[in-house]
Amino acid sequence: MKWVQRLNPFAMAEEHRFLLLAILIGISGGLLVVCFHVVIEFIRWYLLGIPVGHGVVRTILAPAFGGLAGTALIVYVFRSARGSGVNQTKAAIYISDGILPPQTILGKFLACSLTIGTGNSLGPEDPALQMGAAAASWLGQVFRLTRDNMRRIAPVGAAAGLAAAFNTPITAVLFVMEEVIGSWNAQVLGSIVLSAVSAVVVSRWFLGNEPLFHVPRFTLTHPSELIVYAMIGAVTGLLAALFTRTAGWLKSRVAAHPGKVTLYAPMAAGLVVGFVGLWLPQVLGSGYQGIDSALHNRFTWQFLLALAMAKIVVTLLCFSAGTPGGMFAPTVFTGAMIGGGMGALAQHYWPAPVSAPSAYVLVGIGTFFAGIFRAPMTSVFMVFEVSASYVIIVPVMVANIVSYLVSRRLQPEAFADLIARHEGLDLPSLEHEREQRALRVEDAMQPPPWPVLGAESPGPEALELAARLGWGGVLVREGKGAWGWVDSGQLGEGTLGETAVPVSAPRLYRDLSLDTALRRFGPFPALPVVSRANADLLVGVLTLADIRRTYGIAGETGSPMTYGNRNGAPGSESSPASQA
Amino acid sequence: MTVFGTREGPATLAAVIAAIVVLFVFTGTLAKIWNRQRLDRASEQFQTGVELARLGQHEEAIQHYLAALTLSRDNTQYELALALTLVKLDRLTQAEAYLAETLAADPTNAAANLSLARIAAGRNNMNDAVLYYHRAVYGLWADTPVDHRLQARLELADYLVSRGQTRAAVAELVAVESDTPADHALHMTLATRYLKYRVPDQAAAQFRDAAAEEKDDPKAWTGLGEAEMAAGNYGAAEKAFRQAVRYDPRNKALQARLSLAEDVTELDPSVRLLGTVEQYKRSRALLQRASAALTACTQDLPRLPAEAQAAENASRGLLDHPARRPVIDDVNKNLGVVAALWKQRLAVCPKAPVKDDALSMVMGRLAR
Repeated sequence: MKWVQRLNPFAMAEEHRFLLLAILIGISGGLLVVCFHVVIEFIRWYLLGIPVGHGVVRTILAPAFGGLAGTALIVYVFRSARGSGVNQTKAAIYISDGILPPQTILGKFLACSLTIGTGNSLGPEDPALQMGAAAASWLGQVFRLTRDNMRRIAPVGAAAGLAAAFNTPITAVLFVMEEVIGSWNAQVLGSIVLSAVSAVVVSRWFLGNEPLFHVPRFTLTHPSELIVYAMIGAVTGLLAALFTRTAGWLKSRVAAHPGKVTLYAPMAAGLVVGFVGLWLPQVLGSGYQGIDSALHNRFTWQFLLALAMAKIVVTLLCFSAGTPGGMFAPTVFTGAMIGGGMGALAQHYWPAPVSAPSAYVLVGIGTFFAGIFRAPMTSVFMVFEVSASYVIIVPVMVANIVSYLVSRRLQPEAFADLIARHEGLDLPSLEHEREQRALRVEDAMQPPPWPVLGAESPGPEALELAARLGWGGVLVREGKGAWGWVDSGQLGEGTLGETAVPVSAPRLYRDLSLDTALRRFGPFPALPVVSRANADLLVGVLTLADIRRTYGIAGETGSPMTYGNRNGAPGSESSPASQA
Repeated sequence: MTVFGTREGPATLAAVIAAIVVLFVFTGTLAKIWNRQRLDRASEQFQTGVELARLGQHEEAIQHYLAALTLSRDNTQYELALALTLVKLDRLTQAEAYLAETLAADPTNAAANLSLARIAAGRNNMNDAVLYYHRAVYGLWADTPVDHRLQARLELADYLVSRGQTRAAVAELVAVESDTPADHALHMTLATRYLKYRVPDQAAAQFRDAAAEEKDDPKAWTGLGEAEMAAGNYGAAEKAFRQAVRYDPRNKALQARLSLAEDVTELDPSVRLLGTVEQYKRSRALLQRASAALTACTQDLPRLPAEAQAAENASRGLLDHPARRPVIDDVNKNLGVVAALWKQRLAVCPKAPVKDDALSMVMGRLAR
């Protein structure tokens, strides 16, 4: 019955218990998101009506009411639910040791149900992400996790919330990795995957297996279409940069008038949304129905582009006014419409045969998202997951990467970072962190000293070298890839093999990061940098002074650092030899 | 996880699991209510759409079908209704997208296949059209499958004929004969199509079967008469028309067809078992009518072509000097001049219709 014992959470290893907790988080997150989805639907049915946009009065007033009520809840009742889900989750990781107040769950749930259900141009994914993270944080607090585990648990919940809301587990995992954690952390990857999968299973259990969109079969009609896809990427990238700038400017304008503006701005934005919704009901709410219609070639290129522009305007208004809700769905909608519009245009004017506009809608889905969120991997896999088509990968990669690059070129600060700044948070920019090149051994190492010593080298020669280098000893090649350290005190008249007993020294490679190299130093003042193909071949030497100089740390930059007394006196107490 | 090492660890875990179970039950109940309402509302929207479509308000109907489809995304009935309405509005690309989706979910959906066949046919994509028509024929119909299959196959046959594929169309009709339980209506349907596709023998066979099943149906007899006329069996046609007139004596058009059939029968010298004298008599009648036909069409011409003039002269010579004891050579001589006259008639006045139907028919038969 050993396996029964292994399943007992009280007998499990810490990391196994964490995986079990990830499943519980996934289930809870999935259940929360199912309720969230259902409540949004109920509110939409009762306040906006079916079909959406048919009743004039309710179409105009419902978003305004939702904006006012949702914001009032955040301002007066659930203050902790304020802000963007991604940034608040990141803040939990980097600022509050993984703690998100449990009332965030209810606050986001109620406020965003009201705003999104009444047709405000925002999506449920970001709130779902935050609710998942808050639920995970609450479970972590209940189980009294250690501080490290608390920091790891918020992204696990975030992945669960996003996966259940968008019905795409891979996208959720990638988004959390790219946008929330910012690195491919193997420690949390397993638990994030488990929670995302659990959440999606729960969500599909209750809401059904139907995909978010019914997508047509994708085909690439002509290779020259890739140019059209690149153009879609360029246009969406440009618009994404413009969107981010405008959002930042509008946010600062709204922030400059605190007080009642905070409450009434979402209502005013809702009114505008309502009026636009009379003519273009597709822009109301998340807009997934509009994407589905576009995927069925229902719109002309003029209408598709009009929808994209209208969605950008109303989303900017809602978001900048502080209406609670997420940006995931509006970016997906806008990208899809721009893609579809340009695809339909290409059908008229492109000299080579092109695919149906629906193919462009599908490819466009991730482009605006890539430009706004600067998460290119997520955007590619999102479309891949939604379309379940392998053929689509190349056009999607072309379009999304172009959008990402154009947006980054025109607007260096990412949307999430800009919003974090407006929310008063100084969070690390994960995009910049990703792109920062780590310093390597080759950046700091010095050329190998001459001569390279071995067991047969004469002692006086080694003594002279040690004196010249000033390290308090020398590095010795022991053969078969092994290197050793000999303190100056051991050097005498005979050969090194006769007089000295080298202490085995770790090897370094030129491609290692300086951080890794530093961890290997131990008591040695210098370490050999050898070739990976031939460990006997010395390509350089790295000293602590080299590392300090490379990092630009002021101090004894010129002199090498030695253990024990700084003069590197032979036989000092803390020399490697004496420690050995 | 520090709580696992404490005394309250099991209680905490139990409480969390209990909370999740409660949330699960609550979510299940909420989702159940939502699902029921969703399907009810979808059905309401669909019914509204059907009603609007019935009133001819297709644009409004589409909005309601879309709303129904949004609420119940996997419902192929809604999808199909939407697609068919889009077809009615000639939005074929949109309809095609929805129909393709319906087929992706249910490849045997015959109605979707039929609609796609019509779209492909409209785009002159014959391969796809035939493929979808066949899928519609062998697919699953929600109601009255036999009738639907028959209609789909007949539509396919008509399409094939319109594309010049008569043999393939006839093959479809033959398949209908073997697939569908035969009755009077089916015989009539098939016979009419065979006649339309210029397969008079098959048409005659079907009309005969139809007449055998309902002896007093003048349409079956009329059809049989027309089929026999088209096959060149004027005697059989005359008999069939006579039967038709018997059951529909007031029908003037029918009487005219009977009269024509009689005229042809009396004029045709190739009828079997005729004596030489009778053949000669008929060949002279033919000679007169062929000459008259040529004269009628050339009377306005300032000058007859030489060949026409020669044929006319030969005709006049034969008509002016009848044989006292005609032999088969006299018959053949007459028929040779008739053929020359007819050839000139067609060459000199190719566009002018021949007013003498009986003459045309007999000449057609003689040419065969």
